[in-house]
Amino acid sequence: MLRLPKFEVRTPESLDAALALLAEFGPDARVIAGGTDLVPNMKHELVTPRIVVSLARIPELRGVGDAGAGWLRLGAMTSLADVAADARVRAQAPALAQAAGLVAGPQLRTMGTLGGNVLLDTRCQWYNQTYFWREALGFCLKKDGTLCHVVEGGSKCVAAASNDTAPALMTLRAELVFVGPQGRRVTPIDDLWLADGAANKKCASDELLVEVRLPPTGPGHRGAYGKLRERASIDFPLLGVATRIELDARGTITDADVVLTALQARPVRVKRAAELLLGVRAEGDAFLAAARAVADQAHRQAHPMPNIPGDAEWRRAMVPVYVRRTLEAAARGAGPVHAV
Amino acid sequence: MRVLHLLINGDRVTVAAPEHWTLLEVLRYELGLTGSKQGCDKGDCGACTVLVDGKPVLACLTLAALCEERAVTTIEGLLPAHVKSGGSGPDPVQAAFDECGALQCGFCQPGMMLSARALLDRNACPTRTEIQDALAGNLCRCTGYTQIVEAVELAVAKHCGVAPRRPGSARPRGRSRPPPRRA
Amino acid sequence: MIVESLDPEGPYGAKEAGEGPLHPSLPALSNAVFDAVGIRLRELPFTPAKVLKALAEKNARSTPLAGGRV
Repeated sequence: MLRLPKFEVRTPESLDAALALLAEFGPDARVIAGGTDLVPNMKHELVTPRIVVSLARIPELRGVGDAGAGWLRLGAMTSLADVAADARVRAQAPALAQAAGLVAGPQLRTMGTLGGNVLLDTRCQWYNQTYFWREALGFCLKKDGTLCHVVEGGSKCVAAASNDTAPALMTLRAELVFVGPQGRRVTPIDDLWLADGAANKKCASDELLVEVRLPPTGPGHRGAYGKLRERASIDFPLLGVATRIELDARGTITDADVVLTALQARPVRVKRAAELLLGVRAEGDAFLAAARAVADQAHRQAHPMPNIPGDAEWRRAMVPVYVRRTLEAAARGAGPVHAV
Repeated sequence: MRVLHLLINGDRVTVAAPEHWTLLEVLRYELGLTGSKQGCDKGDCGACTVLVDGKPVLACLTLAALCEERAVTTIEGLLPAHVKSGGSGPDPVQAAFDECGALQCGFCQPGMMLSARALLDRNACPTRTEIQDALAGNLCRCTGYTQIVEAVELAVAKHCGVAPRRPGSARPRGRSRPPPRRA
Repeated sequence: MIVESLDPEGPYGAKEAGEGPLHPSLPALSNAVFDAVGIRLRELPFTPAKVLKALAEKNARSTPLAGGRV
């Protein structure tokens, strides 16, 4: 039995009221969306806010809509289940729909939100534990302590970015809309990340993520998501691979992007993916050879830490396999890729 | 403490509970509805699954204070809801679980049956894959899932008027054995 | 459940009562893995990571150049 530490619940009915609460209580307040990340973390006393501010009663934060000029707006409170099932998202951003559909299990996708998944806390076997457990080991670098149990003598936290939607949004060049005391701020999702597991996102505590915006894609857009995990539900990714391919009218690749997650504190872009795939027709042996070149590059870049479940060597060995398979799935207009 | 106005299994309930309690704690320790099980208590196992506005959610990660004005269905509400809508006896999902012996210790069963009920409410005739996907968030440590999936298939078969598979037969019976291998 | 008897096979004389019928299935699965890919797994669970590791060790023993493409 895991009891929550005491807090008060506030349910503002407008964005301004929510921002006022965040301004009033500062670091003592935490925002709750679906609760699937915050509530277990509160039960583990990783975060102990005095005030929990729910966004559930602010209707404009929910739903998928047209943002003009072919852009799609996804409210931050849209559930992952709704993102995965939305016809416009599936057509315009298949990798995102697939990634959202592979997060955890059905109940958690019903509860969990897109905004919550983007802003998911990093994960580590030495961090996501009860207070009792962590205290027994003298705590860790990310919370309450000074010692890293993963990297001997490590001075920087290596807890892993574990959000499935983040790499997909990065390949799609999504933009995030934050609202804070200074007004609206629009930032490319690439600029959100810091390479520090203790706090891997540039987001102030008095700001709210209100919207994710997706740029238009053409008929030649292909995307897929691959997820390595030990069972078909609930698990966080042991490895996540998002791919994007743009084809011209003759089926030749004009642009490509591959982003990996669950390897280190932030999602990682595979270098030279576009260069290696450019000008190749997205079928047959030439494509397979190019996809393998990208897979080899991903393998060179990937150094998974032994701080999330699953043997680190196995996770590293699966990086090129999942990159190749997910590129092939994207080329075929298929996906997602997951073995279980 | 906070006074909560909840809608549980069709009944309007007013209950005072600590503000930081989860829906599961209020159901079990204030209302005595212990059918929703407290398993891992952190969103891994699905034993606490309840329906909120008809959708399966985990009561252990849901704050009770955020459930006001929403319709909560627990395992205790399935039979009354079935009877109220003109049926007799338990919900067809419950009857099928009974018929198939789809349990061993029974701890996962309320969550399993509510996930199955939510699936059948939105898709009355799902395939085996759709059933497995819908139950993917509910762990059973006893059975290996075969009879659980068969129970939902039996409920589907009865509802859709198709002949059900024989309970206890994950694979078609009478299949010829593979020839023995020679070293 | 406690069965009050001294079982010479059980640790400290303990007698199991429930899961005995499961025991042959585990070596059967291990045998199936051996039959399929020629590696002997002796520790549960038989995870993909353990299979991959055992395959790599087997390949290293048999052919020095083995280790296929992705």
